[in-house]
Amino acid sequence: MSRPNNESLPELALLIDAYLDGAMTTSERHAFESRLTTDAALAREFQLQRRIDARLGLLMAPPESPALATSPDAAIASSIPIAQERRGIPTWLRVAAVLALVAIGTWAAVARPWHVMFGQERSDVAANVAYRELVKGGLKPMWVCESDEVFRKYTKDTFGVPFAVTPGPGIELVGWTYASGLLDSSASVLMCRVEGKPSIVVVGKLSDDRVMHADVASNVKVHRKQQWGLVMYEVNEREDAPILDRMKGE
Amino acid sequence: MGADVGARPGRLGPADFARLYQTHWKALWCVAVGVLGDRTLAQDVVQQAAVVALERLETFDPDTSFTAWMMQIVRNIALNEGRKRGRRRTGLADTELLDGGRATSGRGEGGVETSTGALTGRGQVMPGTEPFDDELLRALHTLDETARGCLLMRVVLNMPYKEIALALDVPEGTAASHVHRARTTLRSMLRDADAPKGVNT
Repeated sequence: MSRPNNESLPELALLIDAYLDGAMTTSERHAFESRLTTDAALAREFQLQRRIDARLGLLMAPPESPALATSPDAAIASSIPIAQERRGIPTWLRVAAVLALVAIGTWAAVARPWHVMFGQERSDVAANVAYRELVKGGLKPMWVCESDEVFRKYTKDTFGVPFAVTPGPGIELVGWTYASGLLDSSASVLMCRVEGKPSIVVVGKLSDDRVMHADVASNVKVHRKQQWGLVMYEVNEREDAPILDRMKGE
Repeated sequence: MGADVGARPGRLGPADFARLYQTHWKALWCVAVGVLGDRTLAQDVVQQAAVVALERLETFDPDTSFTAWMMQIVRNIALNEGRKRGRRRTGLADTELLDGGRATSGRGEGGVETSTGALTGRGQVMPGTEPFDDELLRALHTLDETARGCLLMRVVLNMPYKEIALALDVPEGTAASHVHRARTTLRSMLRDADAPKGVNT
């Protein structure tokens, strides 16, 4: 693969940012994905950025907010340790605040998913549309893993988890492509054929999960699996999910 | 961060504070990590900030952004803590960033559900340790604190630039610029680090 020359780097960087930030129109996104198949320098930079983002997401994931104690005394002692060292805070205020943290925090954790609280409710994804588009395009991959070892390295670099698909009769792994508009920009699509028929698997971070469905009239089925902190949707025209069934971790 | 109280009428009470604190916890943590580069210390700092903020609750102007106010408190405490421990930016142990990064996954592990309807869930991934991660953490430390905070909020929390800008009290374009430069810097530093092998068609 070629390295980007110095002149092209700023342009590539802007394109990559725009794609990852969802700042492209649908046609721009398609053009970008198409360019990825022909521009090795862009593909390399993009893959590197995805790897960086994936690893950052894993290494720097915030901890859960502090455990909320069940009694005010315990809360003051454990949840907000410094409160004991400071003078001048009325006890009633400490207790009231801690009780409020307990009550409202519990409510927030139980009743409202994080992405709703942050105003990031995600919309549905019509899986049958993406499936038809990829099938219509002839399942053209952007990235092909030539061995299980390479496949595991790809999945580790991209998702933080090494996994592979156990070979089986009638199973053909075509290759990976990017998922335009599916889950988020960090998701990838593994394109396969099962007994000659297309089957695609959308893989992304569980935290980026979105409701994925297929119109009943489309005859397309969506099979979902979550494992290793990832969410995987196999979209095909079968009643079973042969690729998901063969996903194997390290 | 849609729950901000940028123009909330009336004074902020402890219950409101508790709700907002919980809502913004992760972003506050990112800011603290941006300054300190230490996951565990960042967690302590965000808790200290809660106490300080509670003490100063009466000084908060409800017509201003709670996020920006709280972020400023977190940032000041983080800077003080960093000075106190004499470990700002240099001399940090990379392993300190890694510990505590382990998280649990959600329910429904491993089973396949077939549906044409709605299915959803969320969780986190167990990190591995590899040379690329070490290089990445080293590269992360070369960024300035604001860029690091912006990058983490964008990449890890998937916050829109508008909300990052609000949180850090900077223009939206500045937040985007920080993230853009941070990404470019990281890529340039990591370009040679163990690139994945495969056939790019």
